[in-house]
Amino acid sequence: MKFAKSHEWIRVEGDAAPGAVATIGVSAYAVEALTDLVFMQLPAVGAPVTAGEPFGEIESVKAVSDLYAPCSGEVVEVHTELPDNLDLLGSDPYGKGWIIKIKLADPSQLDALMDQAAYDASVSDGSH
Amino acid sequence: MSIPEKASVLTVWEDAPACGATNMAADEVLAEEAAACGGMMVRLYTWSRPTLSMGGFQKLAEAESLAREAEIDLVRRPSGGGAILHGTDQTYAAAVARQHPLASTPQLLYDAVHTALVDVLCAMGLEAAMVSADFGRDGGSGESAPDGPLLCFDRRAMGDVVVGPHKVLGSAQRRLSGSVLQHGSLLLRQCDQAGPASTRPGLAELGPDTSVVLLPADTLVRRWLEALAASLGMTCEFAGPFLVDGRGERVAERAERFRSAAWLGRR
Repeated sequence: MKFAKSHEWIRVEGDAAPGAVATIGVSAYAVEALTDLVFMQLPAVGAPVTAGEPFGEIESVKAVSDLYAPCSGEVVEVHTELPDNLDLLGSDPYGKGWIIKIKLADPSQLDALMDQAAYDASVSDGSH
Repeated sequence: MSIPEKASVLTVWEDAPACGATNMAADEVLAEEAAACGGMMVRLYTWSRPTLSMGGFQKLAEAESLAREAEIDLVRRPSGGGAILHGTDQTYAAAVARQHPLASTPQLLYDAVHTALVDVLCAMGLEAAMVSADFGRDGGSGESAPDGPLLCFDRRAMGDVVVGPHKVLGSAQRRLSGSVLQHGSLLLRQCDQAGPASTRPGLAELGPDTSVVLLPADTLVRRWLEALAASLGMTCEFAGPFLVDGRGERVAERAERFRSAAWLGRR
């Protein structure tokens, strides 16, 4: 699993080759920081996503935040039940709280992301 | 046009009344400049016509109905929260760069701005307070969902500023890649524009109940921002209008998006 500075995670299913499917979600740290989540807007299957660009939005009691794609690709599956079950983002952020699955366009983009240890260090030292 | 280089300065811009689309566009430019300078900025403004600003994800239909009946303008903010009836309020936009300590979580910036106002209102003799954390655990935070009560001042969330049972300041954020933009509205006096069902008491109506002599609004707002700056170890610099020629083109470009049917009807 890799992490973006903007707190999204991405996990590749199988080998990280072009066309491989990767699952995307948001980190437990981000969910906790946003506090009470109230609304989520997600892309449609087939939509293109671009690394570093927004692919959806999430609203908490205090804030609307963009969700940024860690890698580029095409959306192949959307967790359509998630907007009605936002608690999953907090209770199981790396499992049942997944958001979208994409077909990777350029797996080399994964190299620019942080591993778990680097991400944990970034949020603990406030450099996020 | 100048952008402060020192993060120790809280730059406060004060603009003449403008339409909803221009105000929202100016706030986006403010957020970009805060990101560029690495610090914190505040823009104070009012509205050229009574306007209902709706939260980023509120459904259009109910807000549009209220605006039409009241014959007021309607705009959708990029920030969250409930709809605000502008006309007798002091609206602010605070923008901080993402690397600023106040940007790390939504509650930090919210509390900083709101605590400063509570301190000033209490010094005036008003029994002002912030809604406590217990409120959310009682189920109150659910009222702040996009499908909760239409109007911001009918919602309660932790940190909202209340005088007695009446909410007088509410804020909501848009967290961008380079900065955090926080919108807020201080209800100075009640707004009758949309009829009794949408009328809420402001500071002017709450003061006499507690035998408090209120400061003039501009003095109150200045003290509020000076208190905010002091609480953050910053100095407050009032820099004049933000909407000047050097920003006109950028603001005009963004204003078109806020005027568009696509933006207004996004939900």
